[in-house]
Amino acid sequence: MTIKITIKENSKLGQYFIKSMAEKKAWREAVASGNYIDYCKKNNLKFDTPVDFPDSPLSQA
Amino acid sequence: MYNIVKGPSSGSYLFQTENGLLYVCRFQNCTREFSPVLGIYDIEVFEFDFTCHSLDAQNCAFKKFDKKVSATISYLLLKFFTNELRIIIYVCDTADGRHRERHKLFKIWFNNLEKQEDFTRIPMELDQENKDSGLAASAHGCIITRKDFPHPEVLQRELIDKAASIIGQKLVATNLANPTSST
Repeated sequence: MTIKITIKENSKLGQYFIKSMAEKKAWREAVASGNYIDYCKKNNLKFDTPVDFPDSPLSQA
Repeated sequence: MYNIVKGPSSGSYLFQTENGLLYVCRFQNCTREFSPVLGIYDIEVFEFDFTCHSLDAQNCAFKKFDKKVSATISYLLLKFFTNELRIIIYVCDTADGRHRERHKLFKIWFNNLEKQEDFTRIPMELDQENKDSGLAASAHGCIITRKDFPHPEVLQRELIDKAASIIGQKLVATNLANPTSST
């Protein structure tokens, strides 16, 4: 089974799709450049931590 | 397998490879964006993704296959799925045209997942139409649950059957109100 979603041009879903892909690209570029912490701060992002692992010794991470 | 640590300020999960790559993995709880019925059953839906960067600009390690990377991501996912009520949504971004490769790679990793037979992977295809040229863009992804997920009928009814309208309405409203709130 495959879930298939077709997005119509200029629809709300289309806008979301474009925004979502742009955010993913920005995130990937922020990580690639090593600036993802600044990216998180700038966009006020803190991701969820559903799995317990020790904190990084780098408090900035 | 590599050691995983949690970034206390970003909430990302990080590991560094012996080839000098730093992998950054993130989970985003998007349960509230979907049907409120999911919450009644204590079902949690997370979007997951990961990417990496080289700690050395001259490093060509991106081209090297590293078995320990898939083992580490598998371990992270296995820990995530210790709760049988959790669901993962994984969507590959299309920005650089490499989403099919990422999708295939994730599928290979899923197939190599330890105890893979204990999980269900439902592929997703999102196609964006363009009235002039036909298909303008597409994205690939999947939904992953444990095989013993206790409420498959709720998953089917409240997430899979409603996927297009959920993404098209609730997430759009959230995303337009707060552009950084979801991916």
